[in-house]
Amino acid sequence: MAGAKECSTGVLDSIFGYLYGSTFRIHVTTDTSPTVLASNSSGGCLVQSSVGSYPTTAYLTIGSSGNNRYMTIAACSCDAVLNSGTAACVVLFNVTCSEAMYVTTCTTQALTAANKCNIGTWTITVNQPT
Amino acid sequence: MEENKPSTEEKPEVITHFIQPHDVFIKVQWDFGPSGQKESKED
Repeated sequence: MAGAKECSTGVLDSIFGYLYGSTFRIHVTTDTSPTVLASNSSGGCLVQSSVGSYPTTAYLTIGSSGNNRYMTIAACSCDAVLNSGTAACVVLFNVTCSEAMYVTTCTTQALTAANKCNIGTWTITVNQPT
Repeated sequence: MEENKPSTEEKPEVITHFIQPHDVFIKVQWDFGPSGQKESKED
């Protein structure tokens, strides 16, 4: 019988355990340049939102599908848009904003300062190796 | 009875934007040993 690639579910759990235990903020940014990622409220940081009481939050849910794992980031409403600019990325940050732990893209959209912003739900999935 | 009149003070209209992050799929790809080696392409 031929061998098959596989990953311990514990390994996949540890990935999401880290994200779950460390994620504190969601930012919407113009890009992922170091300057923008290092900024909490100025320049290319357009929106920021806390996703709950660190280190546990109702906004993050870890789920499984067989031996695959995923994390759902629930929809959230944010405070006023901080700066006008074109939103292109959504970033999960740790509590001190020193680590951009996960970045995804979004459909680009012009945001205007002082308006409000809602962020839809999305998922991060890690499946078994193929 | 006095009619309530709407305020004439103009307030900037606040729009609520909606951002939809794209889902992320992490593909784990492990190549073990000679049978798993990829052919290297050199330009």
